[in-house]
Amino acid sequence: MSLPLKGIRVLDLTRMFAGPCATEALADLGAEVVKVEEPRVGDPTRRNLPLWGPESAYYMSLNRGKKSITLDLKSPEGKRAALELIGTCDVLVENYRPGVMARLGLDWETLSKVHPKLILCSLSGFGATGSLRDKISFDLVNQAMAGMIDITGDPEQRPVRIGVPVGDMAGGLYLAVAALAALRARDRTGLGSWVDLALHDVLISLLSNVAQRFFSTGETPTRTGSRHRDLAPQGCYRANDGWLVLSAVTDEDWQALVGVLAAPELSEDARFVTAQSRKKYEPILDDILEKRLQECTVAQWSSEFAKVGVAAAPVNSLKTALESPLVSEREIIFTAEHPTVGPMRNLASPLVLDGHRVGTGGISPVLGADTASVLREIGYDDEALAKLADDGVIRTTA
Amino acid sequence: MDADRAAATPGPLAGLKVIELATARAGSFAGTVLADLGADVVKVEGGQYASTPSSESDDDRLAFDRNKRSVVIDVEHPTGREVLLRLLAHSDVLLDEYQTDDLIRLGLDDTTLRDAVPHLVHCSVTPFGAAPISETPKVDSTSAELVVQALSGNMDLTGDAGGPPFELGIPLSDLGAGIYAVIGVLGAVVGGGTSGRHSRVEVAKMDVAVALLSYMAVGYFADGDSPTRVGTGHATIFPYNAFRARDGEVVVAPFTQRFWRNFCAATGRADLTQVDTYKDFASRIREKEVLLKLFEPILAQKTVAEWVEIFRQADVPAGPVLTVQGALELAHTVERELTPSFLLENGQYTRSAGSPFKFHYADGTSYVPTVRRPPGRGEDTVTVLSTMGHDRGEIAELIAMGAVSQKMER
Repeated sequence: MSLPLKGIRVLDLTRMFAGPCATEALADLGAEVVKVEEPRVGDPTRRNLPLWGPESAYYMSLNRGKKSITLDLKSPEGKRAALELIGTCDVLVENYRPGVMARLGLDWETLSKVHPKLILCSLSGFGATGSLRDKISFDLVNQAMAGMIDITGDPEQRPVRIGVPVGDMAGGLYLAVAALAALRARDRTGLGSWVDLALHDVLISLLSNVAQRFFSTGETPTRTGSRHRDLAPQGCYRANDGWLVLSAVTDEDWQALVGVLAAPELSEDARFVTAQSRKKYEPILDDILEKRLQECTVAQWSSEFAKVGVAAAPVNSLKTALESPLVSEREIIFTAEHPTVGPMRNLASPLVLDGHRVGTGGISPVLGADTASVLREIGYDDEALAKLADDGVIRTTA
Repeated sequence: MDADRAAATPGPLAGLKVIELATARAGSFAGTVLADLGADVVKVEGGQYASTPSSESDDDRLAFDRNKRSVVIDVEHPTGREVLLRLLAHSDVLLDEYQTDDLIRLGLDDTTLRDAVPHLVHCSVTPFGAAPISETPKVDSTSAELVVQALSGNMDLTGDAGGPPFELGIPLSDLGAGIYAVIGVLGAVVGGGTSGRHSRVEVAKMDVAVALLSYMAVGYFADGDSPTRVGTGHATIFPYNAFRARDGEVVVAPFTQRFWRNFCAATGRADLTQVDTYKDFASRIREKEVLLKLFEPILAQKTVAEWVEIFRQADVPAGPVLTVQGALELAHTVERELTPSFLLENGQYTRSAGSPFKFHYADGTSYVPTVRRPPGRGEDTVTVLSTMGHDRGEIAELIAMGAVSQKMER
C-alpha cells in the first residue's frame, strides 16, 4: 500500500511526549521522519520506566517508524549539519520552550528567509506569545490550568486528573493537523509557514461544549462523577464484582432497564417519568439502582442489558481492554522484531486507510541508528563523520 | 493581530470543499476543525439518517457547527440522494458517521462512490469500526462516549486509588476521533493532490481511546503490569499531583532531579534532598505516603496564588487547578485570543472556546481562525444548489417534492 505522505521529509527536534506524538502521526502516514537526538542520552524518555530490554516502553510507544540521528545542536558543526538537513526537509518540528530556537539560530525569522517553502511547527506549553509564554509546563499543569481536573471526578470529593496524558496527546495530534494543513496551503500558494501551537490552547479548545455551557449560562460547569449533565440515569455503578457503566435516558431504554431490574414500581413512580425528572431525583434513583445492581455481577448485568438493547459495559482495566476481542479484532496491536528488544508488541495508529491499519510494524529507532546514513546523504564522508564523532557532535557507538 | 487582517488572509485549507453528514459529536467536531482551518464545510442535515437535530443541544450546535454552512437534503428521498451525489461531485471530502450497512442503503458505499465520485476522500467515524466482527454494545449518540471510555480502559485509569473510576471531564474519544479523522483526511488530501484517486479513511472511537493509552499500553506489553488510577498522581513520579492549599488546589510536577531539589527548597524542606531514602524517582514513589503526609501540611499553609508565585520563582513546574470559568478567563487564554466573540442570529453576542491554530506564512501574513455563528438549518440550501448550477425553478421544484429544504422543523 502506498502511504499518502510518501516523499514528505520531516526533521524532528522534539522530545518527551507531545512533539514525538505529532511526528509519529506523520510517520504513520508515510512521511520520512528524521529525529534529531542529543548525542549523550538522546531523548530523555529513553530512560523512562519500564524498560524493555535496553529500551524504554515509553520511548518505543511514541517514536515508532522514525529514524534517529544524534547531533549536538549547540556546537557550530552540529548546527551546520542541522541547517543543511533543514534544507532537505518539508517540515521542521520542535517543542522547545519559546526562545530556544532563536538561541540555536533556528528561529522562523532566520529560517524562512533561506527556506520560504519550509513549514516550521512549534509546540510549547503556553505558546510564543502571552504572559505565560515562559512558563514550564507538563501534562498535569496543563490539565489543571485548562479546567480539565476540576471537571473530572466526584462533585463531593477532590478532583482527579484525566488518567491519560490528554494535554500532551491532543497537543501532538493538533500539531500533526497543523503540519498537514500547512502542507496543503503550500501546495496551493507555494509558501511555507510557521505554526505556533500551545498545549494550553489545545486544551482550551477541547473544552468545546463544556465551555459553551459556561458561555450560555454564566455558571461554571463542574465535575459530575460519570453522570450525564442533564439526563438520567447514566453513569458508573458498582456491581457485586466490579464497576459497570450504563445509560438509559430515553424513555424506551428506561422502560427496558426497569424490566431488567424487575422493578415495575419504578416505571409507575411519578418522579421517574421523564429523563429530566429522573435527573432531578437522581440521588434517590441512584440509591435504588446501586442497591439492585450490587446483587449480580458485571457480566450478568452486561448480558441482561444487551438483550434489551440498553447501553451498558464493564469498566475494563487497561489489561482487560487490550486483551479483549473488541481490540484484538481491530488489529491495532501488532507484533514485530525490534533490533535490541527482540519480539515486541506495540500499538499502531487508530487510522485505517484504504482498508489497511496504519502504523503497523513501525519500530522505534536505536539512538543514532541512522546518523551515518542521513549525514552521508548531505555530503559527509567517513572522515568527516569520524571528526564529528571525535568532537562529540554525534555519537560514535549506540 | 487585528481581526480584519486575520479575516483577510485565507486559511491553510481555503478551497477545500467538505460535505459533512455527521450524526454525532465526533463527525461534527472533525468538520469544526476543518472549517476553522478555512475549508468550506457544508453540513448536510435532514432525513432519517442525517443529523438528528433533536439530540443536538443548542450548546453543541454553537460549539461544533461554527464556520460551517448548512443544507437540508432528505437523503432517503431518491431525488435527494441524486442532489447529494451531485454535491459530492463538486466536493473533495465526505465526512460521515455511518456503519457499512447504512452506507450501502444510502448509496454511499465504496463501490458506488469510487465510480460516481472517483476523486473523493471519504471518511467515516463510528464507535467500534464500520463493520465490527464481535457483538458490540448497542450505543447511541448519548451513551457511546461513556461506553467507549469504560471498555477502552480510559475510565479505569481516572479516579482515586481505591475509589470509583470516572468518566473523563471532556468527551475525549469523540473529540480524539474527530481529530484523527482530520489527520486521515488531510493526509489523503495532501498525498492525493491532483491524482484523482479515491481514498477511504476509517476511524473507530474505540481505536482512538485505545491509542490514548499510548505509553501505558506499551509499558503493559513490556512488563505485564496493568496500571491503575492514582487520583491526580503518577505511577512513577512523586511528587506529581495536586495538593490542597489554603483556598484551593495547586498541582506540582517536579519531574527532574533539579526540579525536585527546587521543590524541596521552595517548601522549606531542602534537608530532604540529603536523605538517601528519597534520593531518586524510584525511592520517592516507594515513600509516597510518607512524603505526602510530610508535604500536605506545608502546602495547606499558603494560598494557591502564593504557592504559584513561590514555585515560579523557584523554577518548579506548578499551576492552579482552575475551574472551566477560571481557565477561560485566565489572562493568558484571553491574550491568546482563545475565546472569540461572535454575533448570533438574534443580534446577541456570545463566545466560544476557539481554535488553537496560529499560522504565520512566509510572506509575512498570518491566519488566526475567527468564528462565524453556526448556520440555521437549511440556511444555505439555495446558495449551495445555485453554485452547483441549479436555477431558481429547479430549486423550487426540489423543495416542492421534499428532496431539499430551506429549513428544518425541530
